[in-house]
Amino acid sequence: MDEARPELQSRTQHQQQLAVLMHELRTPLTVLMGRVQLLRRHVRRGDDAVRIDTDLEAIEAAIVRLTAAVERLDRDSRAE
Amino acid sequence: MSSPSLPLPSSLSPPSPDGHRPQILAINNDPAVLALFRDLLEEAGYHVSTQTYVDRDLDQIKALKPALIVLDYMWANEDASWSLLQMLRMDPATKAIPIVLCTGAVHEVKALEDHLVTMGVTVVLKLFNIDQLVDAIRERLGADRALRPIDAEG
Repeated sequence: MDEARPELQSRTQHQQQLAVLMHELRTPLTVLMGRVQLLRRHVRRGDDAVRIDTDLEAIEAAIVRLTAAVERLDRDSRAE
Repeated sequence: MSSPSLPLPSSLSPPSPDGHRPQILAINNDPAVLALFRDLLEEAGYHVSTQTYVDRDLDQIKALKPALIVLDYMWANEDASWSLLQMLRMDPATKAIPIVLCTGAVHEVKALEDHLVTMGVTVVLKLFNIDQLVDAIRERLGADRALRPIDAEG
């Protein structure tokens, strides 16, 4: 039973790391999805440039976060 | 020739015919998500307050008296969101506030489904359509207003 414990701990740790990674991917994806829908609405409605800029800046920031998360995943997978 | 008027998306129609703007509290640990919720829900006609898990403080929530709370359930940070949900449901001052749980933790929430239903929590799965979230909020506020005695409002 004691022999199985390190393996169990390692699996739990791995699952936690995956959960964190999923969260790091899903959060900017959620922002991206929501902002694109808002942007479409704002453009159709002919809203002012400030509102449209806010959407575009949020979209850009979400893409930067996604890129960083993917690069981290790539780095980690090479290190394993 | 005038074009036929199209129905407004549900998230653009006013929340209540009498012009009352219910207060929504959005709780999340991510400023970009909170900014999205704020823009979306203000456009839908709500007053919006935001809070992070770091400053989770029931007294603050009690003072605000939100009509509804949008809570992000993060499996990666399970303790903070889950314990806040439990605290909200255990405190007599907050237990009746409708809660909409936004989450990407599909499997984990599935396992807790019965418990969440018992707690009166509506789940909206990420990645959601923005109208889906507004519809869920509107539905909860409508249902709770219909169920609550008039003197319990405000």
